[in-house]
Amino acid sequence: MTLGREHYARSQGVFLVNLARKGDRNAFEELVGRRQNQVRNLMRRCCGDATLADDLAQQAFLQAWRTIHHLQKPSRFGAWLKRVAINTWLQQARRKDPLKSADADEVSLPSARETTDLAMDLDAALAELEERARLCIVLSYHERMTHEEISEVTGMPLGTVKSHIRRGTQRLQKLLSDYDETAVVEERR
Amino acid sequence: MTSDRDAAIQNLFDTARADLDGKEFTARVMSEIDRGRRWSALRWLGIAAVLIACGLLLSGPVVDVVNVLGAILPASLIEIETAWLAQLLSPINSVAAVVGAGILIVWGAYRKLFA
Repeated sequence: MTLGREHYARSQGVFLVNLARKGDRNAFEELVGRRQNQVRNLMRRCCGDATLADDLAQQAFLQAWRTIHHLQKPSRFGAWLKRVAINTWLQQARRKDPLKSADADEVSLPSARETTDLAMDLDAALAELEERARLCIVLSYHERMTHEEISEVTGMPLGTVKSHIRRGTQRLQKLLSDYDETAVVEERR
Repeated sequence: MTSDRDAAIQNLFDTARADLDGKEFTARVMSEIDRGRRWSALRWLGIAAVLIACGLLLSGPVVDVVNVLGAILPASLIEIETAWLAQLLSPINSVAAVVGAGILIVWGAYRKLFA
């Protein structure tokens, strides 16, 4: 049975996940369309490079397609996809040459059309943090995950996560001190 | 559950969240998936072709080996004149018994050394 595109667009997420688990390509396409913003934004905050972020987001979705049949609870698709994306980022961070990454972090700024000044400044400030600390900060502020969830998903001890977030927050407060409440309101306009 | 976040930083993260156009990205992901599916189908076709070719090429030699083993393995090690005694001792008085014992000894030694 083949469903029309508008049918997929109207369907609930759990129904689409169930279809995708059975290999329905169109259902997965609809899921990618719905979730791409979340995953791409997460990757952008993690790596600060729009092109690399999109490549990593693409890898995450490909990995999700390959392993979606292992997903036990379709209602947990969002959390599962986030975990796949984080693992993709962690693998990339492990592969990265430390010498290259030191240079790259200094110059790598987002270049996409959609990127605002605030996003650029935020990404530049995040690039000042060590990779693991950056990941903890992004998961805490961007994904609103608790320390326990971050510890579970990254495999870092809870104390390390807390320390990364405390120090990272202090560093960001210093680096982004120009952005007071007014500036943020301006940016929103 | 702990998550003591700084309100101002949280505000910056929320504001920096971009609304990205997903059409091009989704098309790219799906085209990669389709490419992967094509490669996967080609790979399985290749494996099937190799297996069939191997089956065709090796069927003759495999049948010969089976015939030879069928002739050698039941052969008695010591000739016994009495038919019923030869029948009774055939599980231990054959090439197959020696081969079986050899395999068990090698397997036991392997497990003792490496397991």
